[in-house]
Amino acid sequence: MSEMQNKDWTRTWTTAAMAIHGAIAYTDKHHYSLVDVMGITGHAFRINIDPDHIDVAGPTMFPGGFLVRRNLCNLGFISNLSDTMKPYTPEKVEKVLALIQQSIDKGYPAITFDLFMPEFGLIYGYDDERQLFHAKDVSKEGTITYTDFVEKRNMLWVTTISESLPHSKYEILRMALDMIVDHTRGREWQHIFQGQYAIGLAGYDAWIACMERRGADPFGNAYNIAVVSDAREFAVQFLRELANRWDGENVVERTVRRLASQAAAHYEHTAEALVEMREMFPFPQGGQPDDPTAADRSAELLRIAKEAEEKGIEVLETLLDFMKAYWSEQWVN
Amino acid sequence: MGHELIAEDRLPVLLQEHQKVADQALVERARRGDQEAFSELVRAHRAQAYGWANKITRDSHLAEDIVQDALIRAFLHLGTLVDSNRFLPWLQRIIRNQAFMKLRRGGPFGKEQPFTTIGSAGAGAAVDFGSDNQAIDWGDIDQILFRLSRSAAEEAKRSSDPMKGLLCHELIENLRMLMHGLGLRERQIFEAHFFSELSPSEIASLFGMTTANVYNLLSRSRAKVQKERIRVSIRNYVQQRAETGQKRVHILRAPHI
Repeated sequence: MSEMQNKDWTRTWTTAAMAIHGAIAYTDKHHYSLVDVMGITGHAFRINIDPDHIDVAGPTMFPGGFLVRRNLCNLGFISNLSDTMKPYTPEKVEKVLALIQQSIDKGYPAITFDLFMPEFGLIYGYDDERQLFHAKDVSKEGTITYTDFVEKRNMLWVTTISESLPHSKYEILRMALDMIVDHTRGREWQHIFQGQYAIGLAGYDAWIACMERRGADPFGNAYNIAVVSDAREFAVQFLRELANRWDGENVVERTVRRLASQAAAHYEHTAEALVEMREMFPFPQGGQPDDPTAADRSAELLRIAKEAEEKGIEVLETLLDFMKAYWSEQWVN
Repeated sequence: MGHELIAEDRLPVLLQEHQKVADQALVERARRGDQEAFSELVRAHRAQAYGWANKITRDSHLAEDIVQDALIRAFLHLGTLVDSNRFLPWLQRIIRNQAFMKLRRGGPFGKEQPFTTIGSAGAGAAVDFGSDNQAIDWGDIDQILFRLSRSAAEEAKRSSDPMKGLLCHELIENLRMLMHGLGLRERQIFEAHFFSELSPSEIASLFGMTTANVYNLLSRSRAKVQKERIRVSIRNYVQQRAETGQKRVHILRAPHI
């Protein structure tokens, strides 16, 4: 896969992972690469599809409070959440402002959503004198007044890192696999999004059906394929690095290597098919997803991607079952 | 004998008349900002106000809260009372509205209502709360008022002169800020609804508008007041941080995202 060798592994279309990676760079766990974060949080293995017309909002329509905090938990952090809804009471507004400021005082940016565009971003500074936050998302770095921050959203969604905890690499992998398998098999808790979005393998089915009836929105389709294909490229890289990093010292290490490289081969087929589809529908113009030839070809590519991912997830399920039985940080055997 | 009997019969009526005249004078004085006059009004009617509230809520603590809130509302908006003669019915109306509002929301304990009041509260609310008020949930605005009055009440507890604390300057200032963004018409109607306790249909006939217009205006005003409320609370928050000597500015290095 020549294209993957040239890929910039410090950028991703999955802004949740981008923001998490950006935030943990301020902690003792700054050694995690974006590839690590994409894998350990499971974001590399996500597919969140609006079945109606492949809406552009699809990839970020998940219960963010639940997911991002679980992501942080996988990475070894305890965290705080605000998801208070409009109309806000003055008490809650104060609590949310305090949550952000306390986090910054600890030295950690706060993770939030829809700062300058509807994606995840970070608040990394406050200025009480001018009543504004310093913030950054993938579109812009700038300031936002406290008032705008509160008024211009229907939910004050903020997640902050509370504390960094010691964490076992075995546990990290087991927790990551647990999330990946749950998502792919459609068992992930979806809260208010239940029934509105198709996730995991079912996401491919929904997308194929939409292509077959020529129902995809060009803009949304291009964005979704950009996000999902990029994610799977990260998935392959994550699994490859796993296979390289774990040594052959004992049966656990050897099993992780063996199964991770098997899974990587399957996910590579997935990524290849998705990258080919991405090239047909470049973001943001989006090409012509209602063109019969293009639509049929992309349905075929999605089918190939799904079949490979089905094989990949079976391998990861085997690995998860295996990891569930292993608890020792050091093993003299 | 007969003569005396009549006089005795008439005595309560006469007393009421006398009280009414006295009230009118006190209201006039209180309107001009005379706190002593308002204290006098409170002294004269507190027990009766408590009685109304208690009759609806069947909960002495809740009734006490309602009276406290109602008196603050009454003081702040004495100016909107068109006819100073109607002070007592107006106060009663405020108490009644506040009481049903609180019962509807489950009282001061939210969902954890003390079980002794559950039966009566449910029944009361079901029987008597059928006005146009139900169409719009005014809870948010009332929360502002409750919050403002709560802090005023706490002030009152600390202060040796309860009325002085109750009427504290800050409370009035806060309310003025909240109403800040409203146009004259919006303000009149807003005040008529919230402070004179008139229903939208009553306001409509008072201002020669349709009820639909009143609803529109009220909901627009409500949005504006809500926005202002958030601004005020942010300002207060920042001010509090400054007063407690917390860090004013803290900017980390910009993240790589």
